[in-house]
Amino acid sequence: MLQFQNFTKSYGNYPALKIENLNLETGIYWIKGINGSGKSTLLKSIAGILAFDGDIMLEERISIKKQPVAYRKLVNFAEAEPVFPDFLTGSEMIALFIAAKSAPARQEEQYIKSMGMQSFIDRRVGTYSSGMMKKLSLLLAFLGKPKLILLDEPLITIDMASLATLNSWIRERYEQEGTGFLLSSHQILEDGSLPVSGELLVEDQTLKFIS
Amino acid sequence: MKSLTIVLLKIFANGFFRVHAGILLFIFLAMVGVVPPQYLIGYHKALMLAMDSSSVVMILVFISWFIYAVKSWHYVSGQIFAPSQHFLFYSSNALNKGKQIISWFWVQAAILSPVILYALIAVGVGFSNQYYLFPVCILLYLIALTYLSAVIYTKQINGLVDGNDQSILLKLSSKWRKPYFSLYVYHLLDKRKVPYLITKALSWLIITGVFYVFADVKTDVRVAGIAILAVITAHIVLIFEERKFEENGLCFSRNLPYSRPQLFLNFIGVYFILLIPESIWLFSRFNLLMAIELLFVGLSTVMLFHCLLYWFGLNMDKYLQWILGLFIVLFWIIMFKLLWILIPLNLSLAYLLFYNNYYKFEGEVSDKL
Repeated sequence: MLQFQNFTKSYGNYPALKIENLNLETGIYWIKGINGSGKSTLLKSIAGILAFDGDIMLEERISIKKQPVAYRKLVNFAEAEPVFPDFLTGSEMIALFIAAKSAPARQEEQYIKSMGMQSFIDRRVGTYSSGMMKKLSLLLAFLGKPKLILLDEPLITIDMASLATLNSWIRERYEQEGTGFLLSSHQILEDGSLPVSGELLVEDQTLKFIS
Repeated sequence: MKSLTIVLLKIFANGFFRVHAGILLFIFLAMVGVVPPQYLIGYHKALMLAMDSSSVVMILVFISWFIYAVKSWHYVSGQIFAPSQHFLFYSSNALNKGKQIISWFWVQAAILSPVILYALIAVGVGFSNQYYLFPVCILLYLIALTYLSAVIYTKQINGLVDGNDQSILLKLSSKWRKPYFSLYVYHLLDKRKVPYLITKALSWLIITGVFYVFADVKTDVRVAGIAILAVITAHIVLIFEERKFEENGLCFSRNLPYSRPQLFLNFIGVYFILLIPESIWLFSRFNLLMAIELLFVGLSTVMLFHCLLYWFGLNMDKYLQWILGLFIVLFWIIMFKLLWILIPLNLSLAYLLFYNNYYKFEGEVSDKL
């Protein structure tokens, strides 16, 4: 699914992350690591938001550097603490992502309903609580037909019922469409509700397999 | 109390000068450049004596200082309610009102420091020329203005956040589709109406001024070209704001599958919309070919100024230096009537900067306001 080729991310002279060669097969992976270990940096780099040296390949053929548009159509991302222009409504954000990611018509409807977002989806995001904002950003990451979805700290700020819904979204996309997932967290719910393929650890400025 | 003053000074006074560096520099240069250097001191001394002796002049000066104060109220009030300043609502207002007012008094004094400095010199000049009444009025006026500002800020920070303010223009447009390229325009309508209106007023002043000065050669394309160059330079605050909005509000957009040529065209579209008032002027005043030429000169220059920021990030000091340098270069190109060469030159430079730097985002926003 994802291949790192001499990946190096530094902030000035400080080497934040270095992954020489690593291949991830399609699956659902937890990325662990303490605060500040570089989980968000890693996910933002894979999402194409942060610059880095080296390359990342999707399915061994789409390079983030050489096919930036094709790559971004297939990799979706939800930030840990999402920020959107506060004058837009949830629906307007969804319309923007549907157009950009070429999502099938009415794809968002089931997600809005199952997460119980009908009551606030037409309000400006400036009025959202952090939990509402998080739900919206998670929903946006499921729009289109991505091969890989990156969720940065999906467990924070949303309530337990919504967590169960999110788990069912992840399972469904993985089982039906073979979508891969990278989920980061500093604390993991190991209740077996997700068919996890492996766990990775961000430590000592690199990414390692731990199981 | 001291610690609050330091925090407030850092957030609001420093922020004010960072945001308004361009316009303040412009005013300073206008005040220095208004007369030949050998008359500079004499001119300002005469101006100060007029303030110290004529009630009409003094009142006019008071009005202009008041406008400056209103501008600072607008900025500070906007910042007070910004999310990163929310902590003030549950920290600073635990102090007693008097202490808060003193802290805010120093903040406003810092913001007014250019005015205060000029006023103190004027008062000194007045005293040494045996004028006492008006100089004392000047001092009292500035103290009152600063105190009034402090009271306004303190009231705001001790009130409750409503959290439901929305610009009327956005309410009207709530049913319209909002494609990606339109977002900055909406952001301007929502949060940056004053900078937009000031820029447009400046545009109008520049156009009127340039054609007044060059009244004898007003059909010369070079005059119009220089007017357009100056108008675009007046837009640098809006250009900087655009990049800031893109970094802070639209960070997620780097993950969206838009191609760089598409994004580049998108920004040309944004600036075309912002320059509609100037375009109307161009098409009503010049023949069609010349108007199109001038519009493209404007758009290509604005794109060059915009794309510079992808290269070195949100650094206002560096930006102003580059704009000044480019202004001089572009000025001479226009003087040689090379407008048609300027358009592809600007656009290709801009595209090169954009193409090579758009994805080189390092994750550090230097001017996070």
